[in-house]
Amino acid sequence: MRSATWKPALIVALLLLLLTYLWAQSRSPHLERQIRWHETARTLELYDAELMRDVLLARAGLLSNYDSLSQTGQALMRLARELRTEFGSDSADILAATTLVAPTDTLIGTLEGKLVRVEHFKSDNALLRNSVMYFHLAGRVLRSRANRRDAAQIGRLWQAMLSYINTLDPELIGEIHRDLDQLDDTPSLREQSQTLIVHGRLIVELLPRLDLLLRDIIGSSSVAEIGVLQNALQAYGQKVEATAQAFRLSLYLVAVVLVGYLLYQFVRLRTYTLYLRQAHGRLQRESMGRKQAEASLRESDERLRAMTESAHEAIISTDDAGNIVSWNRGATVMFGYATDDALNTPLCRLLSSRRHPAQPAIFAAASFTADTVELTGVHRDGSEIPLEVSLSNWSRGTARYVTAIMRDISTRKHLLETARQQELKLIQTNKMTALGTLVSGVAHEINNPNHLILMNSGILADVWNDAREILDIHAIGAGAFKLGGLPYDEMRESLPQLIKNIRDGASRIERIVADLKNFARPRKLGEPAVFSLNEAVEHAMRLLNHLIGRKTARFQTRLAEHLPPIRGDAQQAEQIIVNLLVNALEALPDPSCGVSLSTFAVAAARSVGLEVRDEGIGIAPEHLEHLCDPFFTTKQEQGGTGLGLAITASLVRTHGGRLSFSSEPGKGTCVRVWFPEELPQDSGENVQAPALSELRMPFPQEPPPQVYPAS
Amino acid sequence: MVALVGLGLASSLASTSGQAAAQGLTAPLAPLPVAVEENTEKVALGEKLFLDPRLSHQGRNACVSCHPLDRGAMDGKIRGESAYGSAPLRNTPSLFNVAFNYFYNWDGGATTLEYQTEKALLNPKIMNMKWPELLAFLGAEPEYSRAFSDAYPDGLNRNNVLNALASFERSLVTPNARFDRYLRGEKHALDASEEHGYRLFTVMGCVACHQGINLGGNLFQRFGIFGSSKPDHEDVDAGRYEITRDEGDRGVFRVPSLRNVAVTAPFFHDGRAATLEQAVDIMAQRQLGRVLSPADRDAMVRFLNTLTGEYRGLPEGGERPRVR
Repeated sequence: MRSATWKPALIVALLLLLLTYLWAQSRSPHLERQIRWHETARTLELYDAELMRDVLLARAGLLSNYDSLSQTGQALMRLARELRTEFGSDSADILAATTLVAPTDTLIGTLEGKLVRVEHFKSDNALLRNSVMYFHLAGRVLRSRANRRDAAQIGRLWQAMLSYINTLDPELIGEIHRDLDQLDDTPSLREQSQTLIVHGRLIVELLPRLDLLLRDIIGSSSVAEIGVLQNALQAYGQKVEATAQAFRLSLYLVAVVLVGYLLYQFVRLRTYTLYLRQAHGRLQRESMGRKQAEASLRESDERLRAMTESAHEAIISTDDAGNIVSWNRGATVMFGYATDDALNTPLCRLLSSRRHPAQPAIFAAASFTADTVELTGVHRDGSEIPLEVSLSNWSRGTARYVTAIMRDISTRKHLLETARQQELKLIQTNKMTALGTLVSGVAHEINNPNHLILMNSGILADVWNDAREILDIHAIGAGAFKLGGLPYDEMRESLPQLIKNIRDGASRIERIVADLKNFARPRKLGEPAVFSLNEAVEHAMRLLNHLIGRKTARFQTRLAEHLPPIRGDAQQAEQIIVNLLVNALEALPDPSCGVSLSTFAVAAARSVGLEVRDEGIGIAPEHLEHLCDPFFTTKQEQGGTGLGLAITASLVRTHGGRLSFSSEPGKGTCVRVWFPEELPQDSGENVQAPALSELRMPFPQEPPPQVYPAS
Repeated sequence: MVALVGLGLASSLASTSGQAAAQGLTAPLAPLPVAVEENTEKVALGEKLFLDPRLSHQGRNACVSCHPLDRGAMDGKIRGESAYGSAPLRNTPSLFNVAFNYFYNWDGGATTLEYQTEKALLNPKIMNMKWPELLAFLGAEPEYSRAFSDAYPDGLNRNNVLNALASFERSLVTPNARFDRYLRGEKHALDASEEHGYRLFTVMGCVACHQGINLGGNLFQRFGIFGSSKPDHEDVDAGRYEITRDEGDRGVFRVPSLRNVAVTAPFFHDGRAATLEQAVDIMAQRQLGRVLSPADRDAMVRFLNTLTGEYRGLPEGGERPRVR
């Protein structure tokens, strides 16, 4: 294609260059100069003719002065020399130098010779004119004054002179000289005859010379040489013209070639144009279709972009090497990097290296399975983001790309955790309810046979008391005998204890069942009443007075004055306090350890609190969160049922209160209970306490266990 | 003549004198034109050069030194004084009306004023100048180089120096001689004796050589057709033979112009005639083979006195020391 464009241009340019050269050469060179030369040659001819005319006029005595003659001669010479200089001046014009210089030089030589003769002619002619005049005058004077003989002699002389002037016959010269010599001896007219003699002799001397000069001048070859020069000029012009003609012919031929070439190119161009027009039509149709396709593509592309940009997910594409090639706004929001900062950086930067030391591998592996994986990302500020990443790979040409759609799942995770905990709680509650139902049923079923055992064991003890006397008698009588496989003596000693054990066991079953019933049966508050926490505390202490005295030597109470009242069941409140106190007292390894009980008001939380602090053995941290679970006990051997704190917590909850433990093993435990204080405006209203307490509850429903350092 | 004027190829010199030449066809003598056309800028530059003594090698002699314009444009000496006192020169010719001469100097060695001027400039006996020296001097003078640049497209060079000088020389015309006024029809410009002298001048054949607009200056003639009885020093000069080496030119000299002849004594190439009377006598005797009567000679002298013209509006000549 390229060669097709520069080649014709080069050819045309070359042809044009050639044409220009030929055109310059085909002009008759220096046409004006040639014309001038011709004119100068013609002028030379005219001047030469003029010179001849003036010479002849002068000879005839008709030229009054020599100004014009001198001028013509000098002009002739000047023109010829100028022409000679011009012929030789153009060193490029060899033709002129070779053909024109030589004839001009010849002409100049001839003209120089001719002018020398003209000068001599002028001098001699002037002299001759005077001499003829003086000869004439002197002759006339002499003839008028001389005697007859002399006059005749002078007349003869005059005749001879006249004849000589007309004919230039050399024979007359001798005659004239003789006559002139004879004039010498006429002394009277010495002056006149002297004049006649000298001028006559001068005439005879000058005339042939003048005649010779005139003939030489007339016979000068200058006219012929001017003709030769003119012919040379003609020939020169023809030669130059012939050369120019040849160039003109070449010019014409080259022009024809140029036109032909241009026509050929034109035809080619036309063919191409037609072809191009068709191709253009085709292309236009194609491009129309492509344009529409492009438009729809662009539209869908824009839609896709808008979708990508509007997505809350981070949509990131990487190339083979793991460098980011596409980045959306969601990604900027998620990771804190602007688009420009993110592009062409490795994707690994966005993932927590701590959690995924082998990220690229994960990525690569995941990208083939098109799976959704959970990864941990890193925000620009360093915080970690739990991510759900869906990976897909695609390729464009040979390049392979991976697109990751990342969703921030921290909120979801949190919700899931909450849901799981609530579910656990629900399960626990269900478990408790089922347990309650089970326990109620079991308690009832156990209670009846247990009552029989308890009642019959009393009867059995009575029976043994009665039978022992009889058997003692029998033993005395019958000697040693066995009773129930054992020697009677042994049996007599252990049997009361056995019966007592039965009775104790049954009593224990009865108490456990009662506890179970208490725990399982939904506790309905009695008629809710407003009461003072301090009163409940004092009542509970009276009940436990004996136990306190037995367990510790240091028991302190610090009851706050002017405590706000609380609403609820006072007996249940007492039970709570009793349970807590009993737990505290039983945790004491020896009586030297103290227990303190205090009440206080928390004005800011609008609640009233109770604190029981002991210096007991403490609770292991791992046990703290299970304290309120039913049947959780560390005193299985001492007969703990694990229901005390569960019931206590249940009661506290029923009152809308809150319970917290803190403990340090070996140093002691601190238990706190908060009850919501009774508000004056609510007094008298018949509202169920739990609902009320829930509404007023200033504390979270499930506060994390608070740990108070033991003091 | 028709061809000359019609072709229009002749130089300015030819055309200025063409009119005079045309008049010459009808009469042997013709008056000088009242004014000549020359480029004033070139003339002014030429005059400056003409007056400048630095144009001579010795720095003393200007052109004007030998051609004082208030005294007939010649030095009034029998022979021109060589700058170095060596070989004697001929009598200094007047520069007035040189435009109408066809040959220059006594031997006609130059046919153009430019060439004649160059000869004078380079002649070791006269200005003794060399071209490089002269051009260097002129080029170093801001006034000259500026004047040349103004007057000539190609500025200062050899041809333009000569042309400027020649232009000025061509402007040295002395019109309005009483004889010219007489020729122009002012019949009372000559008194009776002068008119008689004019008639004698014509009749006796003086006019055969002293003809044309300049009464001479356009042909050569042998000095002494009618030989002197005593071959004195006067005839030693070979004249035009020095130029042409043609035996026919031995003792031949240019016929000088008679214009301003009354103020350009002494006369002849060797200054042998101190007065016009002597000169007229010598001419009559040597050229015409006659002895003039005192009356005729006086009339002739009186006529010759009417040939003195004006230069720049003032009558030429005035008092000048007579060389006896």
